[in-house]
Amino acid sequence: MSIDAATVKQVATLARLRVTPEEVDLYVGQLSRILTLMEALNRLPTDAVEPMSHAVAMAIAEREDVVVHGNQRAALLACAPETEQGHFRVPKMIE
Amino acid sequence: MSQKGLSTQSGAEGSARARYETVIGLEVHAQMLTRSKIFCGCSTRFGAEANTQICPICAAFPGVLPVLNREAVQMAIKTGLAIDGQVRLLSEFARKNYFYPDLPAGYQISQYELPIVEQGALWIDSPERGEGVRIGITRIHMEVDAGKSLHEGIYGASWVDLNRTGTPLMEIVSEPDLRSSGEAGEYLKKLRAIVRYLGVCDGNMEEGSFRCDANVSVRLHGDSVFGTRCELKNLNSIRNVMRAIDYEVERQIELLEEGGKVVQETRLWNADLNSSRPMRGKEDAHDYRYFPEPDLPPLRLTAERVAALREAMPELPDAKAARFGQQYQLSRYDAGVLTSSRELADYFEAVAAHAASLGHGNAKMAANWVTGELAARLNRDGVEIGQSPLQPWQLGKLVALIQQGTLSGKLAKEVFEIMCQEGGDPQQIAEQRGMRQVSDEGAIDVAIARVLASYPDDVAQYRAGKGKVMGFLVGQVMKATQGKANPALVNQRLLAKLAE
Repeated sequence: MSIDAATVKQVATLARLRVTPEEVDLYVGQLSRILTLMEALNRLPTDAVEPMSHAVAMAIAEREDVVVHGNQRAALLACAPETEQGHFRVPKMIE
Repeated sequence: MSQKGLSTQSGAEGSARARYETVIGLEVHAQMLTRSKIFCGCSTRFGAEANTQICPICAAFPGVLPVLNREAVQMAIKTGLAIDGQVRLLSEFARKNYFYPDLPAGYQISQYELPIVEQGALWIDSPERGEGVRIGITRIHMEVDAGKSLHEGIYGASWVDLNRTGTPLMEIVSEPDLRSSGEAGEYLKKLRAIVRYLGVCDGNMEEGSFRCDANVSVRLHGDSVFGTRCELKNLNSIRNVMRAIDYEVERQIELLEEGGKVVQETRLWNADLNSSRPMRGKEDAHDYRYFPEPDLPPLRLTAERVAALREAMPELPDAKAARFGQQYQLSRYDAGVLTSSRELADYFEAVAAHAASLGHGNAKMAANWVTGELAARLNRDGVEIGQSPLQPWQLGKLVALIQQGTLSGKLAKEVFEIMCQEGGDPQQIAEQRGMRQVSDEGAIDVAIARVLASYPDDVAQYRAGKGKVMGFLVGQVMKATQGKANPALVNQRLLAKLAE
């Protein structure tokens, strides 16, 4: 299975990645090879196999419903490029 | 404001409209009433100062790991059981990828292919289709809420408050089973009553803890495929949901009748203008590039855990309404009104129990006072039953006093007013103010004798067969007793006297 340049560009746009024309060509080749490999799986009988979403068989951890964090605003806002009156300041959004 | 080009219903348009069927599916986002967020230990309290309830996890700093809040899972299971859904013993979290400044991670942790609940339903009384219409619920999944963006009054920028980020949400998705705005309203009322009964969501649409998006399409009656749908957003009350749907149905039918096509889009409702406008084209689902959340292993539940929650379920609105109908001989309507909230139902039962403890078990009368006089009073003052000016025992005793004949309905209303304003025991109020209904036969007979002596002509007319005069005579006796006489007794004694 192969993937075309338009799809690569679309995925890059959705992921907010800037790609050069040379990179598009590179990724078309690489992604097509990955998909070809995946296609091999389609030829195997997997009806009786439970779909795997995680490589490591682990149980999910659950925590009790307790508030443990206090106000950390100053420290967290200090990491932001721009802040204003206790808020993160970002470029104007439409709507 | 104007209807934005939508003309009012004329004959021809009316018949065009009748040829179309409305199809509605609702997506409800219900904030769960946990103390802390779904994946971190920040508070979920509403109304705190901006960004004071955030931490590196919900603010999506690199390298942090989410840890699932057990209570959020419990609440989602309870809701699933309450809507007769199938609780999946294996469910999974997934990343829904999109970029927006109030979503600091660049993805929302949600559930996609394996939601915690599937295939539920609830039953509504439809204004058009009658009682007990089944509305399917496709799924309930857990997800995180986003933060809030502020735009107004900020020059050249937007502000972001992440306090809400990470608040646990249940997204409850209905099947496209609703056929009118009225049914949508009934569905939302029922669903809201259920989550409130369970204590899993406060159901406050104005504050945004119970939000609704509506998918609306129309098709000609008999068509087997659905029309193109539009998604309506920004519906912050049940009334607005209904108005927005009505507007959208009109808009789509008008469009189709003019030979146009409905374009699939998201539309933003403006309650002030009573109209909607397109927001953005609906992205295709794969644009979100869902994939299993690598930071959270699958959620596996034991059957025992689900069974324990099933055991602990409170009595839900439908079951309670059915019980009220049987136990108290109430109409379906009265039972429905009284069970619309758990607090109101409990209040009514306390009133009825108090009246019964005084030997007067007419629960219908208790129901009438709660849904009539008291509800009007609460409505007027804009308060909920929890802030009722009357304790259940006060109203219960008042009902008992009416049933035992001590107070007439008219006097009871006066006592009710006094209790609302000054508090107190209805019996003492009545006694102190001489409001006792006169049920003393001797006193009534004296009044009757005086009236009969004063109106000999009317008495003669009655005896000559003019039964109508009876009403006048009863009125005169009531007047003679300043309205305190027991009307039933007056009637009875007067008939006896006139027959002598």
